[in-house]
Amino acid sequence: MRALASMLLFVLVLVAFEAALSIVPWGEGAMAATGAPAVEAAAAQPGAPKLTAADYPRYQSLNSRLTVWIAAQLHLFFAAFVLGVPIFVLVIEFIGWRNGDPRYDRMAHEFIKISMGAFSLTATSGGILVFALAVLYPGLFAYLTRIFGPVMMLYALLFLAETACLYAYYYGWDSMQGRQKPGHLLLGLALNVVGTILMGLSNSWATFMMAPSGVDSQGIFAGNVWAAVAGPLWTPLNVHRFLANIAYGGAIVGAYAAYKFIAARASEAKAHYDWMGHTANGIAVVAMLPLPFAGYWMTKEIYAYSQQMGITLMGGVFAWLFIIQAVLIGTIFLAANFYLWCGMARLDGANRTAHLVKYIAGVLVICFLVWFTPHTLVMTARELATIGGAYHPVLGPLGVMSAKNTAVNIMILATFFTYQLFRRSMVRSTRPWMARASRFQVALYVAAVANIILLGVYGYFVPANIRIGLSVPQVMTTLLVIVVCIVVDEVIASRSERIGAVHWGRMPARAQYALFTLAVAFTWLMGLMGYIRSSIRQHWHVYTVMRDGSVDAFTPTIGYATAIVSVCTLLFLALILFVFWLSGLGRAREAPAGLAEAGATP
Amino acid sequence: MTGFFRIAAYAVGLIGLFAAFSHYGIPQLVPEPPPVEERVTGTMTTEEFVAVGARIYARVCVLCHSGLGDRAPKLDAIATAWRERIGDPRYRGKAKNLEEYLRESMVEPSAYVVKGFGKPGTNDTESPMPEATKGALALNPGEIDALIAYLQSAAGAQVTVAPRAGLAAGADRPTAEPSIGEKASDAVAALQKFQCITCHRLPGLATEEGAQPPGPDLRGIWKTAANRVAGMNAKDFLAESILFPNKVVAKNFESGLMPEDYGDRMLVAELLMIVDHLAREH
Repeated sequence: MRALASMLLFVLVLVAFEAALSIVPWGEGAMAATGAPAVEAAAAQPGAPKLTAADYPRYQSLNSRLTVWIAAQLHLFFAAFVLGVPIFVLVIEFIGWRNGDPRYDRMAHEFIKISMGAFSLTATSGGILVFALAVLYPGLFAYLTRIFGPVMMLYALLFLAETACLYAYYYGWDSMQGRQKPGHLLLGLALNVVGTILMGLSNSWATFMMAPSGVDSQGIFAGNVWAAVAGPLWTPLNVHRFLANIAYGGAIVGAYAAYKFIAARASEAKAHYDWMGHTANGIAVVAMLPLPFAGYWMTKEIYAYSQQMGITLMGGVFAWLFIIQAVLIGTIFLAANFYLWCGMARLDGANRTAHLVKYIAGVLVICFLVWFTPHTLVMTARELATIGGAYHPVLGPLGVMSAKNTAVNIMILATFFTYQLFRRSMVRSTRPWMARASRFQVALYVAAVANIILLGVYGYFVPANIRIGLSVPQVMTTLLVIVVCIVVDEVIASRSERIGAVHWGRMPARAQYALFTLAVAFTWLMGLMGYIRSSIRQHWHVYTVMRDGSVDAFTPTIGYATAIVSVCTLLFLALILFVFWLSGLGRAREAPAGLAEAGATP
Repeated sequence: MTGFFRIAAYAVGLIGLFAAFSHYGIPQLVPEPPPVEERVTGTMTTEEFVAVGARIYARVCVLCHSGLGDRAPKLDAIATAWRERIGDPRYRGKAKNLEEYLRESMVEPSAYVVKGFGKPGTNDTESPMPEATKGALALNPGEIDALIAYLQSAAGAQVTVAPRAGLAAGADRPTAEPSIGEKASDAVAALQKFQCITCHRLPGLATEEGAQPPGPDLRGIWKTAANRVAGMNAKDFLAESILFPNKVVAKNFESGLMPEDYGDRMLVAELLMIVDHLAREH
């Protein structure tokens, strides 16, 4: 039934493209038909259309921008989820295949089952988005189609391939065990490769609208599709979304596991979903740690493309949205850490490190407050006179990116340290070199924090365009600590004796609410960042090339924008709850015995 | 089932918290409307022409040239700095005077890049500033002239450009038309609607501390308004200053800079809201 729905949508999308192509001259096709030289053919094409309000059809009280906004956001939520989940499903399945532990295989299967339910909704929301764009913004849709026609056709074909891979991967799970497992893993790999290409293709439309390439200042397409695809922001956005999709997928399946944990009665089922939640939280956190780096890279490229756009993003009215972002990411960090701290109750050997938790919490809260501090304050004249300027004399310096980059890097290190404590609580150092290795790790942390703070302070003494580049060595320092500590920990773990067992299922219910918090905050954050990314184009459909001539060509207030983000989040969560319910309709398999006292750690 | 509703209530509550913080914890700034093409006519006085330049500057330039010298060079000393710059061996332009230097800086920003303000990795040979006549800015020749006039005036130099009719066309923007439009919801919204912040510092509206705006600072006007004209109370004085701005001009400020058409463009309710707001202690 789902396959039929997806096929139907595919046909409808093709029809929409066909309709759009029929109303505009398609440069590539014209060239092929006439055999005219490419330069002449490109020159003969008109540039970006200059639209007026009359060029945008209105349907009674339907708000065109709102319709496209909600459709696009819902599609992005679902697409991120269904693209992110198969990536870690493949990894978990591979681990299960290599170590012969069927619990991994079962968990991977359950993860992909949730993703399956969301796939149809991804296709549905995508279809709604395409139709809404074609009907409500025909001028923009026609212009984009003129340039990206071949890419859109490729996208449609790859969507078909994605559908085929996903259904074969899911429905072949049980039958392709044993000797056929490598074949099944290859299917999963193909699913991920196709999915990633699909993401890259659709990203190219978004980045073209932000930083057009392959067209001149009038929007005249030169005929090179690749030049239009591979714009200056394409690669950073691809990397950012790839990582964010994994983190988001982890957060959503974590919420699923939490839901099932709370609903479960049997201790075996509780143990299974506790393990599942722990794994999902780990996936979300691990994928989230490099996200700031990807974000900085993206911002750096935005500045390099257009300083005006960069400053509009970070220094104009949009700057306040990053205070909201700070609250959301602070919530995510605190929730993820809280879950890990609660998780230490599962371990027999956690008492040795439990006293450190309060210090980690303190560091997280201080960093959160620094990140949360705004730069420019909106004040009354009296407040302004009392303070002596638009910036607070003491807290004002904390409002700039130098302080915020420093804070977020230390938050990442603190979160990783929590994760390290969890891992190290399960082993006991038995040899002298292990103590030396631990001291080396402590020294590495101290040096890294000092370096991050020094770079942050240095940022106050250099111009903005150089300051933004300092975030790269700061994040590289953080990543270096993480990579080195993981390697050292693995070496220690492989040569140490284990302390006690992991009691899966020995977890308070309040910890499950931390997983729900992660899912809600991630979803809301994605909606907010999607709005920011899109709205920094301001009154342009395609920045500097094609002006938005509609009546909605203005930037809404923060309150309005975040209300829409909230509505999108509510809609998505309601739909994903429906998916959870659907996935529970299938025949439930019993959890394998022994998990409740297992030593396995994801 | 109880668990399901508890989880759903928790999720809705959390979303509500995020939304409430965004509404009540964050200032609800009203972003500027899309830029319109400024109307420049040959009959404009120099003061009107400079005022047009001031509006463009506030809309287009101040984001980077905020007067803090952080994102882009300060322009307050440009009346003298230009001589040093065109004498610098790194200068690659052809300007011979301030007007030409300013015009060149806008249409060919990399002709001279102030040290420390170049694109990273270019050793200050390439400016990150977009060409003012292209792309997102796309100022028309009349607007460029008005900007030069404003920058000359703000820097204390003689204004050497005059308004020329027929130079407005070309930009891909609708032309500014005097219009009453929708009534502003409150005094702050009215001050924003009429872009008073372009030329004044105002109570209730945060501004970057930097270059002196062309109009008086009105954050303390409530203290002095009642004493400016004998026999006239504060509110009457403020209303008259808005409707007939050249009747009483503040000391050290030029007359003729403030538009005289607010009587046509402003609703009575908006005028009263602004007057009440300025006359009240903040």
